[in-house]
Amino acid sequence: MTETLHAATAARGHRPDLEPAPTVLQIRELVVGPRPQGGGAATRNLVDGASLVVHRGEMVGLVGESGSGKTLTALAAADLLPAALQIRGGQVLVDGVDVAPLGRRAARRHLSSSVGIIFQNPTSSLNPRLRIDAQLREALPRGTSRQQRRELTGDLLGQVGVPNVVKTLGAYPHELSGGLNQRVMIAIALARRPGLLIADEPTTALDVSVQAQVLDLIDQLRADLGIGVLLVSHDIGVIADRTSIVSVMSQGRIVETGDTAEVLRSPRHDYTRRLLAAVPQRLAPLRLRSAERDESPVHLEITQARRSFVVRGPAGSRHFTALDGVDLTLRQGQAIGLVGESGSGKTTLARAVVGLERLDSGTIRYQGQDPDELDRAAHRRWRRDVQYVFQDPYSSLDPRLTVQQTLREPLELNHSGLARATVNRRVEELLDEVELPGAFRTRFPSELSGGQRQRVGIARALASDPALIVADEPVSALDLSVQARVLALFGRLRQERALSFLFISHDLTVVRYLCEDLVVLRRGTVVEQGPTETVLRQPAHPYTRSLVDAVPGRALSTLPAPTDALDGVDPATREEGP
Amino acid sequence: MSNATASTAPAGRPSGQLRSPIGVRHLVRRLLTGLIAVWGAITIVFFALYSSNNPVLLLVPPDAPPEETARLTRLYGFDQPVPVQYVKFLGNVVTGSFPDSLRYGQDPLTIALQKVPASLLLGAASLVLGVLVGGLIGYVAATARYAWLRRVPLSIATVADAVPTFFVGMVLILVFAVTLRWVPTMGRGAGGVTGMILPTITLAIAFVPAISRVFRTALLEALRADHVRTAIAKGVSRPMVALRHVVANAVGPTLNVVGIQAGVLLGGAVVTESVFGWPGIGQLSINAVQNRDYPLVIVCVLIIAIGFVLINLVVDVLSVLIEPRLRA
Repeated sequence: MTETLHAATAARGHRPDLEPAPTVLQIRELVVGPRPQGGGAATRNLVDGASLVVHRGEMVGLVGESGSGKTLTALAAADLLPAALQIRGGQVLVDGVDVAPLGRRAARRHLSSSVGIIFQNPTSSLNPRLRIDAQLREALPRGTSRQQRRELTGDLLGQVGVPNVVKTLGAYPHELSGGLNQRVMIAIALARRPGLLIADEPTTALDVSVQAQVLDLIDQLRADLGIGVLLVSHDIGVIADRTSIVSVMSQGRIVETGDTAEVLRSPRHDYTRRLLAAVPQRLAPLRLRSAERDESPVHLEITQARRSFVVRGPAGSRHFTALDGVDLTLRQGQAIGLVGESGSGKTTLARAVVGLERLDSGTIRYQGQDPDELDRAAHRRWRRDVQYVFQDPYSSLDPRLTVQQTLREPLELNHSGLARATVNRRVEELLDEVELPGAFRTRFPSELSGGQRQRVGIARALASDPALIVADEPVSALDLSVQARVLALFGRLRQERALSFLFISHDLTVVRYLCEDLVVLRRGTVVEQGPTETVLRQPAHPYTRSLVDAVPGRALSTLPAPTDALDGVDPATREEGP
Repeated sequence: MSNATASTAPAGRPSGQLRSPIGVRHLVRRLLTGLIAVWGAITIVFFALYSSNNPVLLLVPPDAPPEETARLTRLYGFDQPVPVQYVKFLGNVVTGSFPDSLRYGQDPLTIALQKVPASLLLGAASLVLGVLVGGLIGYVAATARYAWLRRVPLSIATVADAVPTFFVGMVLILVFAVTLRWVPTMGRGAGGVTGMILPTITLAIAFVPAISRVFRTALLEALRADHVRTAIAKGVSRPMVALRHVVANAVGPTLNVVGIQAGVLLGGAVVTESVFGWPGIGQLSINAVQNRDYPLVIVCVLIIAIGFVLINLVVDVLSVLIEPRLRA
């Protein structure tokens, strides 16, 4: 096992036995903090003494959770910090040149020719108003002639594996997919032949299979061009698969640096250990049902669900088929994971189940009945029974309601005439159930972290005593360790409340943890379904196989089983504060 | 759809330039909506005028015999039932032949069209001035280094927004024409180009505030955008980043406001032209209303409504040209 890891590392370019390659980036004791405002209030440094080195031909990972300072470190290296922040100390050496004393213009000139950078959201990182061609030309070195520019833009796109170069050059960013836009961004980053590529969460906004392709491309360019890559990511799987050296960052400090395989196998720092324990691949899957599966009554039955949308624009309209005849059966107490890439129709299906979306044809039967045909009282009961947990914990809570008010609403709606004291007691119980301290009652969503908000969202769903919970990517906006805890919460709820679950996710590893059964959607049709283990181990459909292959973190599965680092931590304090 | 159009374009580079940015169907639909707006405007005016007294009473001397009044009422068709009058009126609009102006005794369309160039001149000059000043204030408010520079000009513009146009006009006349005697008091007839200065400023002030506020917001949005960071990282020079990636991207949203403000421009023109005696369609319509010159009022409203629709149509086409995402 150790040998395989080492072999993999060597293939990725780090060759400890040879003379070290020249350094392209050296960060020494970097301190980043807010620019002092007039008042001169005490301010906290967001990056506090970070050091790292990237050599030519090497892929270095910088991993940490949101707020750890990893993105700021990367931005500081390229002199792209937001206006409110500044470098307060330390040195940044790019190609051996200290950038700070150069002065603004000289520094920019040096950096733009020696550092390429790509960002998390490729589509918004390109100017929506300009064609790809124009944006690429801007990136070419000064003094390139018109004729040369014309040739170079096409060459660059070819180099990053864009299939239809001519068409892409004439397109606007919104006409291209996220993956294609990220390729364009890479082409722009490489236009001045830099020795260093900084990739700040380059694939977080992309589908898994596209993610794998983009990472393959970066890796190939690293090998072909001999550039150094600083890969910033929250995803340990990506880091494990792609980098030879990793730095782990937490609260503005780099807590651990070393050979990636080494760090993952025997993490020295407590934080690294906790991070590794939260990786969903490494969570022991929750399996509540086995033999009695087929005897449970059918809870939800979807037959031949079809739904298409008309996308209108001044240039005409086109049809988009979100659901193209989907069948699905969910039994009492069952948890089905609905997976597929963006545009596969999974969210449309989820919304249709809870009645937020109408079907063009087909039926959804809840406990044998079509909700549309129920009488008033029964319809209300169905509304209570089926609850939805939204993807984005930030926008799915009313910012002007306290936690208490948010939770009271469904309680009072469903049990009108409930005494105030009873309602308050229920609120406390609900908070307790989602592992939030009772004192959170009076907080507003803005005073909660992402994980805490999602817990409130779950508590709101639980408030009406549902029988079926439809959760649409409920953990994808959360940090890894928070994600693990929210998943554990979902698992506990499944056990304690005997809920049925329809769990939508693009992340196979998350689904593997929580759901015994898996349904794979592609372009509005079910391409494969069955028990999770079977589908993941022997995917029958090529699409499923490509999804499974694309999941990052292959290197992680060879690691020894984790010791549970989450035990004995108080639930209220272990998530980051507001 | 856009992909399909792109692929049918010849393979010359950059291929996309041959795509039609705006669909004919979209344009026709917008034009139809505009026609409905024009129809609505003249219908409202028709019924508003009908609800007032018989306009013939104004034409005849106060002591005229009732037979004379009745004869004229019949002559102008005011004795017929409302629906009949309305249908006849719509027929007039479609054919462009209106009953003679009650006051001038000529074709009202000819009279009104003669006034259009003066109004266009004033409107265009004010639009240019207003957009320039509003754009400048908005830019300063979004980007100035000093807090006072970001706040003061915008605050002044906001205050100006609260002052009625006619009052602004009268203050300007009092200060610059009466007291300082820099420019003539009255409009075009009296002073040529110098006579245009005050009305232009007055009308421009009416829509500077809205433009500066929206442009500021659009700029702040554009400044925050991720793609500006990309442009800086590329090594694009600072002035080019500002011009190409920030200002140019903020023009689209602002343009839409110009379209909405077209109403302010036209409404303001009516007031401004009256205050300054500017011989445009605005002044004409005020006079026509005062004289209850029924056919002339209708024609003025028709022309103003068509102007509004045309301005918005132009804005629509321009914003699609500027903002490729609208082509979707």
